[in-house]
Amino acid sequence: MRRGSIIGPVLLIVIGALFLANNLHPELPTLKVVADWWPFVLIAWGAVRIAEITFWWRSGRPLPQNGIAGGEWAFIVFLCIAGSSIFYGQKYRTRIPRIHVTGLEMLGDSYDYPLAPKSVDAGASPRIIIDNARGNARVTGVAGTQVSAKGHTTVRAYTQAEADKANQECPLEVTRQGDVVIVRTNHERLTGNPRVSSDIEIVVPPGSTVEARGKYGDFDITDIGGSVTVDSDNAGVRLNGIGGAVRVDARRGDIIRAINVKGNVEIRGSGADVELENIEGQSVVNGQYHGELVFRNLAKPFRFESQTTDLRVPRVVGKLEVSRGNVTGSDLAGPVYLKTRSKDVSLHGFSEGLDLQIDKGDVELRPGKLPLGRMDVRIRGGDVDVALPEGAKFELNAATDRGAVENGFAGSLREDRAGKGARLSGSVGGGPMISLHTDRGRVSVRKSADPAPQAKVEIQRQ
Amino acid sequence: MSTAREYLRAIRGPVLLISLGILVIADHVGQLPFWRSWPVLLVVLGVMILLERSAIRPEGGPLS
Repeated sequence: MRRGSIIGPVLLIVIGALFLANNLHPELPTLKVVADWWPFVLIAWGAVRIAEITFWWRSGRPLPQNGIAGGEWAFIVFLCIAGSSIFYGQKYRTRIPRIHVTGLEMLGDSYDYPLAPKSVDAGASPRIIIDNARGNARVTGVAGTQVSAKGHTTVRAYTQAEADKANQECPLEVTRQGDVVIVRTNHERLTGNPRVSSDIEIVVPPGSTVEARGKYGDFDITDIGGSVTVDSDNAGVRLNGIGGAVRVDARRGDIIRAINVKGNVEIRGSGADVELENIEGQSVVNGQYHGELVFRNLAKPFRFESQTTDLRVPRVVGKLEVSRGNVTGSDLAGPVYLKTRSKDVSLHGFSEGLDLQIDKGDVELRPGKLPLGRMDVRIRGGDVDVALPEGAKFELNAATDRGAVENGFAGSLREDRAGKGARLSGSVGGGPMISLHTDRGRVSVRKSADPAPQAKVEIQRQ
Repeated sequence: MSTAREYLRAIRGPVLLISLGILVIADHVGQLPFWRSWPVLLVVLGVMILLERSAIRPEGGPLS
C-alpha cells in the first residue's frame, strides 16, 4: 500500500459502506452478502496488484520487493478468519443466538399491543395468503366458512409514543378479493426503524389452501385440506394434517416438520432439522441441513439432495435418518441409491437392491429380506460389513485394494490375496450379483446368524 | 530498470492471493473443501519460483 496502491483506500471505502448499509438498513442481508462474497475481495486484490505492478514495470518505475508486504498478509489472514467465521456462522447460526452488529435493537423497551380480531366470510375452499414479516403465525382449519385472525404485536422502541406510532402503522388486516383472502400485518408500512413482531392466530375453513410468507418467525399449520406453501427466511415450520401438496422454502429455520400429508412434499433451502412422517405423496428434500433429518413412513418415492449427498428411496416403510456423519435406515423398499462424500451408512431390512457410492465411511448392510436384490457398493476408504440371511442366494464379487476380507461362506466363496488387498468371489446358490469394492478397508461377508449380537436377536425372534 | 525476474517476484504474492481466493470460493460452493485443496498453493508458489529462476538472465528491462 505504501507505493501508492489504490487497494488500501478502496478497501476502507468498501468496509465503511458495508457497515453503513448494515446500520441504516438492518433488514438488508448485508452480513450474508459479506459471507458469500468476501473471497472475491482476495481475487480482486490480487488482480489489481498484478495490474499495478505490470503498469509500473512497463513504465519503468521501480518495483516493490514483494507484491504483497508482510503487513498486508497479516490483514489477509485476518480477513480470511473473519470471512470464514461469518460464512460458517451464517450457515450454522440457528443454534447460536443472533448477534446484531449494531446492537441497537437490544436497547429500548418492549411494548405489547393486542391486535383487534378481524374476520371475513370466505366460502368453503378459499385461498389464504398470509404475510407476516416478523413473528409467529398459527393457522388452524376449523369447520365453517369464516377466516378470522387475532393476535398481538410487540414493538421495541425508545418511547411509548414511538411504539404507539409503529403499532398504528401496521394494523392486522383480513381482506377478501374473490376467493382469495389476504391476512397481513403490514410491517412493510413502518417508517423509521422500530423492531416490530406480530404473533397471529388464524382460523380458516378446512378446505383452504394456504400460502404463507415471512422473514422471521415460525409457522404452525394444522388441518388444512388444500395445499400449503411456506416461504420464509428464518422460520420453524410445523405442518400437521395437510390434504394437498406441501412446499416449504426456508433458509435458516431450526426445524421443518410435516406430518400426515396426503400430497407431495417439497422442502428446499437450508436449516437444521427436518422431519417427515406419514407422507402419502412423493417427497423431495433439497438443500443444506446441518441437523438431524428423520423420515418415517413415506409411501411414495423419496429423494434427498444436498451438496454432498444424493439419496433416493422408492419407499420408506420404517425409518430413515440422515445426519452430518451418518445415514441409518431400517425397513426400506428399494432399490436404494445413495451417493455421498463422508458418511457411515447402516441399512437394515431393505429390499430390491442397493447402489452405494461413498468417499469415506463404513458401511453395514443387513438386507434382511429374501430374495436379495442386486447390490453395488463402492467406497474409497472404509469397511464394508454385509450380513446375509439364512438361505440367501447370490453371486459375489468383493474386493479391497488394501485390507483383508472375511469369508462367512467358506464352502462356496473363494478368497484370493492380491498385493496388499484381497478378493472374495463365487456363487452361493446363484442369484443377483453383490459387488463390493473398497480402496482401503476390510470387507466382510457373512451369515447374519453368525457373530454380530444384533443378528442373534433376530434369530431368537424367528 | 527492473528485470523480468523482479517482476515475477513482485507478482508472486498477488498470484498466490488470487489462488487463495479461488480455493476459498471452491470451498464455499462445496465443490472442494479447503483442507483438501490447500496444497495447490504450494504448487503455485513452486511454479512461480521456477519461473523466476528460468528468467534468471537479466533481460535488460521492460519490453527489451
